[in-house]
Amino acid sequence: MKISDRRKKALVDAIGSLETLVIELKNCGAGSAGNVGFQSNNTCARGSGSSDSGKDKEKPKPAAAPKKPVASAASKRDSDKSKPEKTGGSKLGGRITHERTTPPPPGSLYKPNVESDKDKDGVTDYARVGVGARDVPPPPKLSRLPNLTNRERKAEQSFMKEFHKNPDKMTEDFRQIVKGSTKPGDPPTFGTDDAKVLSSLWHDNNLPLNKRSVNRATLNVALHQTANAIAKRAFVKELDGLKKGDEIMVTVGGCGAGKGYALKNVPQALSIKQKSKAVWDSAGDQNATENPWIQSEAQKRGIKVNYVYVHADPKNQWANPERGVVKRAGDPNDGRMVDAKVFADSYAIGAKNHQAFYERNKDNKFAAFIFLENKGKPILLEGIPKEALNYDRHDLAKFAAEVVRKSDAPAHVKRGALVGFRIWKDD
Amino acid sequence: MPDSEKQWWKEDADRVNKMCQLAAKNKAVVNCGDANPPELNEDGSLKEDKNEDSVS
Repeated sequence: MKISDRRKKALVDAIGSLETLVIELKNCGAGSAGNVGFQSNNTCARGSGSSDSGKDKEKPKPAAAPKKPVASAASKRDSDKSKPEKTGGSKLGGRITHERTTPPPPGSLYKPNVESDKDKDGVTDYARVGVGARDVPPPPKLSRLPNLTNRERKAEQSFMKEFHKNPDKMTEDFRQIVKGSTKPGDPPTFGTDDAKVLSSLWHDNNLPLNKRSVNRATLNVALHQTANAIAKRAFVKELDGLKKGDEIMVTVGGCGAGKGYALKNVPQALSIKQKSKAVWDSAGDQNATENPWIQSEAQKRGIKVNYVYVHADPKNQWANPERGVVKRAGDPNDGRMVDAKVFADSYAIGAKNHQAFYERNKDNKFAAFIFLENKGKPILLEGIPKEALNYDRHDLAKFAAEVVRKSDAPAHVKRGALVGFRIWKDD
Repeated sequence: MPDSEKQWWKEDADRVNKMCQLAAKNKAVVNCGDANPPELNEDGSLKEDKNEDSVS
């Protein structure tokens, strides 16, 4: 068997990287290779990724002879720019799973264990996308997603780079947009997805709607890390302007659950909104992981938080031919599309997280909870229905992928739904 | 008040598009590269799957 010089070099580089990784794992006290990867329960690996050390260099380095410890085997693999990566993975993603990927510059890779609950509070610590649940970066510096295509990587990097150049300016810009678009009498509403309007890929005056909607469907994940950081910083800044005794509202629920719609149609929820000074419209993508962070930020300022959880049937919300997520994304005036795995987590993990958070805080005088159901006509519920606490994220992701693959949805909507089978091919 | 969820989605898309306009007016939009999307196959995969230049 002939081995090309390039392949030989790549193998030598890989061996060098593995040796570095072994040293790093020993330093971390990791017991086995099972800990490899940026797992949220491995703080040593996380720190060694230099995400908050300020030492990340944006320029790529050759893979050979790394001097600094690397974040993980996965990040090492992705930081080797000499060999484009061909990925394998689930059949559900089809050809998208096998597309070539472009590794990020050296630095921390965001590849957490979405089920990890390090502090044992019942709420997981990281979602598949976004920033750490309790983080408001920077610090730490933002981490990059694994297995992005060249175009996705460019989108992720350019948005991130602009944010890191001047995080306060982008935060303030977003706050002004939120305030400027708030209807008179309404509280300002901060949401991660809305922060994507700061990217030229979300809106370009020279781009026709049919192309804009393709960007919104296919680059949603790539822009999410930075958007989450901007929205969180902006919300904290808003809280700084509130006073002791004020109240705020937080909407929680799966992706596309119809949170805004349910809220507007249930009088009890509407009255809470009217007395709130600000709203955090949590992205379903974050799986309700942000609740403890919000509670802590509000409570230390003497502010009460009203949580409005919206339950909906995930299968219907995804596949409904009239008003499902897939159908909505096909509208050129909209185009926003969520990945199937992110969608599945938002219902399966999100419901459990919110339930655990509710149980810990139901007697907290700084927290109040109401539960809504959106199944056609929104109504008030006593709590999260039992069935919602038993959703399996893998089953839901499989369902979502199969539905979209068999559908007549536009190609970009299918792509937006299935990119996760390449990005998180191991989970 | 929107009378159906479908109607609400439309209103929400309009809301986001208005935010986009405001972002442009405020000169708050940052350039994130080529806005022209690549061509796709019917299944959503890239028609041309090439690994271009690296990203820094």
